[in-house]
Amino acid sequence: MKKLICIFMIIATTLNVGCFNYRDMNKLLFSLAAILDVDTSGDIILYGEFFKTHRYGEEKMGREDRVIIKGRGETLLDAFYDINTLTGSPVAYDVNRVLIYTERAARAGMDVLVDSSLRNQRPTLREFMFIYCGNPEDLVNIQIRDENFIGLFLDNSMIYQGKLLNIARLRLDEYSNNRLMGSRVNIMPIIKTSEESKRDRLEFSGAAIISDDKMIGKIEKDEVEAYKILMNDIKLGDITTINPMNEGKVISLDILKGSTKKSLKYNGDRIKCDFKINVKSSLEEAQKSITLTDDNIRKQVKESAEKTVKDRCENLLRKCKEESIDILNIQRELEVEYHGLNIENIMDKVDFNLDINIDIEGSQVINDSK
Amino acid sequence: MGVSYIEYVRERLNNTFDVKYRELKWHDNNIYIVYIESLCDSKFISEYIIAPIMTRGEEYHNVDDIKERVIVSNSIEEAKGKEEIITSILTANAVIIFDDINRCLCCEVKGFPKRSIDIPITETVIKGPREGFSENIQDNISAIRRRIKSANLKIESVILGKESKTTVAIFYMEDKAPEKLIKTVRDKINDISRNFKDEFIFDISSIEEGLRNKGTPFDTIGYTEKPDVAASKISEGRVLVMADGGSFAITAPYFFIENFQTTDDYTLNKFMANMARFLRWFSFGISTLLPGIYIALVTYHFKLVPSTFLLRMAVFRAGVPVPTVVELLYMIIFFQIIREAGVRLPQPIGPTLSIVGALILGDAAVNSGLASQVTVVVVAITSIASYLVPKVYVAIFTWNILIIIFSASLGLPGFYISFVLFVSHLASLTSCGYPYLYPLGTLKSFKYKDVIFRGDLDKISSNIFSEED
Repeated sequence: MKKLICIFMIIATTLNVGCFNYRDMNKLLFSLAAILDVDTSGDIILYGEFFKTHRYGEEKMGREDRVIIKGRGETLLDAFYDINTLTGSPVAYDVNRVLIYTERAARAGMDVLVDSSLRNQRPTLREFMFIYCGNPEDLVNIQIRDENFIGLFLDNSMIYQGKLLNIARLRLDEYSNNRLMGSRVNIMPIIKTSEESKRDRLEFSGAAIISDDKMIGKIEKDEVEAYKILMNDIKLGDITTINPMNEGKVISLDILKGSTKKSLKYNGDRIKCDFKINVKSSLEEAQKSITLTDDNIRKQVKESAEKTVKDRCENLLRKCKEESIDILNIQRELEVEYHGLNIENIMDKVDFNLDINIDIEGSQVINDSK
Repeated sequence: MGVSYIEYVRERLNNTFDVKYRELKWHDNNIYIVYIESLCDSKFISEYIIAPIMTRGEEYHNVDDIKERVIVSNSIEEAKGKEEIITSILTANAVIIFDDINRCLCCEVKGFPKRSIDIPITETVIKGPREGFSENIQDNISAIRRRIKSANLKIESVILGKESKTTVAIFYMEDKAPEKLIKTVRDKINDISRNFKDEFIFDISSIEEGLRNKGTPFDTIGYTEKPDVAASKISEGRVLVMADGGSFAITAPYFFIENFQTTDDYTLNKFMANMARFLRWFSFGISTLLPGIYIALVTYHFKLVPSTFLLRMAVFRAGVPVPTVVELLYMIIFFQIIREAGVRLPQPIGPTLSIVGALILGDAAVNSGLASQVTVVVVAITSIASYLVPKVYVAIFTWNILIIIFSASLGLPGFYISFVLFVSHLASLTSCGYPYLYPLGTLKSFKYKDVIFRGDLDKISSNIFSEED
């Protein structure tokens, strides 16, 4: 009996191994970034950034090479196999870190590009997604000085810098959830080659609004900040506001931590959406000088900072109402709270109310921090 | 017949140069004192057997008086046959054969060179007794007796081996050791005595092999060469067996958790001891499972490895001509060869070879492209971790190979299968009728607070068996 169970377990597991098979890592091309574009005829163009190792002759250790291969096809799978025809080693997408879509591809519709990534079980669902504004050839030829691979550079940026208020962050698993729920809106970070140095630097430049797998608009960096504050994603950043003691000068408050509580109420006609935003901050910089021990001054700083944040959030919300984009996915929350309630033109029926409280810590007297 | 006794002895022990015959006159009879010079104390024989017979023997007219009033020896017995005379001579006794009157007295006169009590090599301690067993069973019994001064300590003796006539002693505490356990051990030894084909038994291995579970690399019978450990095992209700001529004692039953216990656990600070024991368990886990996980992750499930590390590993593996699994297997075997060579070589050369083997050849293997640095590190960690639990290193090696083969064939599912098989194998073992994973399989009567962490000494120093076990 024992032997039978053992044999059964081995056979069952052998059959259940599925698409996994034995591969030696030094004989693979590891994909780190996939750049997806469409041409005028609708064909998909896939640029792969690959990691390959070599060890020649007398070398005591192997070394890494960056390989860029371009494939083309009617579908993404076609393009993938097109790439395979150009490589000597099998391609492994298991550790692909980022998916970059060109603005052209995103505006044409990402559904044809995303489906394959979601169906294939090999790549991880934790890939970061980006929109690239510019020519993809420029992107693949960029040589970032502090990192050889665009994939690793962007992956690290998202892990370590994605907490910044003005950088949006989106993973494939989050995208796949949001594209099917509520208003089906995703906010995807936009990257572009730096204006100052086109050849060696990538920069984040706001975010793209993706609705129903199509890019329908952009938001700027300060709007990304407002978006993250409203979405309760306040981790790292600063609030710059006027210096009440010196006209024409500003002060910077470093955000220590913050939280946003959102409550929705639907009365059958209008939706009341209240945001209660609490931020703890510390004075990090004051142009000219400031005395925080003065209660009056501190009150002025607090009110000024709260107004700055409020203005920013209200600007974003106004823009969304004007363009009728449910950027905060209020539809989904209503569906959850009111059991599948679906409201047409939801942004026309929402009244937003913001209650912002910014605490300023750091009671030391700063007379001059120039 | 007296003469026939001596003739028989001369005939059986001919061509044996160390057998000495001393002829004396007693009234009108001849007395022969026969002993083996290499086993007996000649001075004792001269002073306490020969001298009294020569000076005072004539005063008495029968053998019983000689036995009771003349000979000065702690142990005198009368032989009841010719074969018993031979056995008595061979077991370091001096026999006094009385010519013509068919009688023979056997006196204990042991006096052979023996190794002094030494520090045991296999069970070194930081703090605690350093005394080890020697090859003399009497000394070993004495070492245990000195620790357990109780009338409940019973020591049974059995003679094994038709030619070697090795004395085997069975130790147990009458009030603590379960009767069925004593019976199991006693019956097994008696079976060996009846059925053992070899006429020579020189050490305890034959008994150990008879008692242990077959078909497993795990030891289901324990061993020790320290009297304090032996006494401790006996006091817990175990049975201990020891053979003359061997410096190890075996203990039964022996449980899996005992592989992780050392004397220092009970002599050092509890927290330090617990930390060391936890390290041993952890190391056992690493040494058994690490190569399997490694091969499954780096050949099947890349995405479970942090990408930075994965890419670095790929760089290290660049140029290695063989598959990772082959590389891992030959590096493990290579390290085992070094380990075996280090153990077998004489003491001053062994450690040197290990250093040369591990450092220089390991480095050379990497530089020549035979292995990657990560594989060498994995194998080295596996090997070093297995040294923390030396009693199971053979089992670790065996299961390592099996787990690697499963993992290389099926990835993580293969690893899980092999792990389940490993645990099932452990759970299926018994030691003298007790589950090898005790007390893990006997939760109802769980009173053994000495598994992963040891409890306070006053709570753990008691009989480990309960009636329902």
